[in-house]
Amino acid sequence: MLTFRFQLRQGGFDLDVQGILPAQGRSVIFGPSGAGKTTLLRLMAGLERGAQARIAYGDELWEDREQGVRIPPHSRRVGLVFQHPVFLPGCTVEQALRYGWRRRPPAERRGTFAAAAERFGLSAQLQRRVVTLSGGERQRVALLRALLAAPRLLLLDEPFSGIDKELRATLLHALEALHAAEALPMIYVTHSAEEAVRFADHLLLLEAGRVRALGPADKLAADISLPLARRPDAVVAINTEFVKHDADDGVSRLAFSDGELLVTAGRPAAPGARLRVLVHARDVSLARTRPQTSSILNVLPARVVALAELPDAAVVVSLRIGNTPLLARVSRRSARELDLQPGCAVYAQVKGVALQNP
Amino acid sequence: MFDWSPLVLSVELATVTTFLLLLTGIPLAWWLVRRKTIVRRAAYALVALPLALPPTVLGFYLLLALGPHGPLGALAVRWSGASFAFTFTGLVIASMVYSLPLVVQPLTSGFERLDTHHLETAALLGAGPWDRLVSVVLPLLRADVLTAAVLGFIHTFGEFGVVLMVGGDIPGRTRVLSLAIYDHVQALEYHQADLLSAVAVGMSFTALLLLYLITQRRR
Repeated sequence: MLTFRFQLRQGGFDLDVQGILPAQGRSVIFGPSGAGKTTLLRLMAGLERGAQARIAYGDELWEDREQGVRIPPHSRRVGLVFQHPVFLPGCTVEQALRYGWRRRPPAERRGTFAAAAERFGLSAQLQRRVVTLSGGERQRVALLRALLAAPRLLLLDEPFSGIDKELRATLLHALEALHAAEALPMIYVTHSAEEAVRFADHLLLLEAGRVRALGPADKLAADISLPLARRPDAVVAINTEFVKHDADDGVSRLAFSDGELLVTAGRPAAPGARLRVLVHARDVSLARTRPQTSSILNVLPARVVALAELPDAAVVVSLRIGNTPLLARVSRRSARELDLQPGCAVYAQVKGVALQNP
Repeated sequence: MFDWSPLVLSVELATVTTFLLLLTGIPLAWWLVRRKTIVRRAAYALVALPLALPPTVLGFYLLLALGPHGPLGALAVRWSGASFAFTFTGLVIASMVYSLPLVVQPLTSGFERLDTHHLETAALLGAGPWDRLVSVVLPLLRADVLTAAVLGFIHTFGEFGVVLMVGGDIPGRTRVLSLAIYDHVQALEYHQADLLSAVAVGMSFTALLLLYLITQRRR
């Protein structure tokens, strides 16, 4: 458990946050630029001074202004991947990677150096100079460099923001695989709503230096009183298990706690494999009666929990399929004609499912 | 046989002084740039002061400080029975004060250019403060440390007023190159003065040339 309270005034900026993040799973700090996301991350790592700070990791007190306690960053065993990582001029990939590795007592290292480089696809690049690498490769080196220092908590500050979308998805997937393999708790900062919902188990919404909301990601993402669900690109994540793939139709069947989803995207996976799928609010339409004929694969019985009017003649509808939250974005006119009210039963037609894991 | 001992003495003095100045100047420069408080600005001005003073003024006060009635000299008397005045140790201390600004200045400008992300990255990878100094700061500031060393060396090598006041021009003990040249000229031994001067010009030029060749290539 990471328990923190920070108060920092810097120029015109004023940060006052407190909260508890679990010391497991993936947490995301989400907010617009200038909300103080990076500063919060730096405070957690111990890089900012001059703050009224109190932070404890489990029962280990990292910093407490009042008690005069301050564990310096190099003793916290926290990894941090900056948005723009720096490397010593002229250093090779191997030198960069070994910097943290050789400072760690062998007993605390995880795996071997060669295996780690192999897993990140960097074995062939070890003797290259970091300056000659592409942005994506450099980010991979920065990530692996942080991991090889065997942190107990990994902080990531928009690590893939300067990288094109496809590569970003690959890197994010590598990070997810890594998380699954090592059970390393991560705190990820982003201003991309989709990235936040896709990655997060826990979500901290930051606005103008204050915590707007903090809690399980699926709850917050579908909470229409929060800005995340009101965005045009609002999205929820559903955790599923792979059931089977029908090769003739190219359709995969995924089970979640309250039903099944059919998806056409993606490749077959092993039965039981855990997949997280994203459903955009704009891809969900609603009907009061079950549509008899439709090209839409997924028609799920749901209950309306709440509605909120949005500025552009749209309505966002918070739904539950059993206990699984879902969002639908419909026109104000449709909402009126369907007479959508909290509590009423509807059928959610999911036009598309973005399958994030393969 | 020509007496080269002033040259040897000057090289010894400049080498020892430069070495000690780097040892003290690097932490001092680091401290000076880390935070901009009033105390540190005053300290910065104090470090630069020897550049502004006439060497004889500096030498005079250093002589008082290092002599038997000065604070440093009195300590030395208690410890070893003799003060620092007119000794090699006295010359080293005086030269350190005299050349301090030329060593500290390139170092502070290097530290100010230093991207602190390098230090933060190293810290988060487990490197403590001394480790960061050796593994990050010095490699990044190699050119600045070299500049500081060369400037400190040739500045010490060429000093006159301070060593005259503190050292007293004792042959074989405190008569350094610049004093020997002056003495030769006074005695109308122009040939000897010329020999030593030519060596001084050659050495200083070579040092500066090497410095520029190395630092230009790095940029």
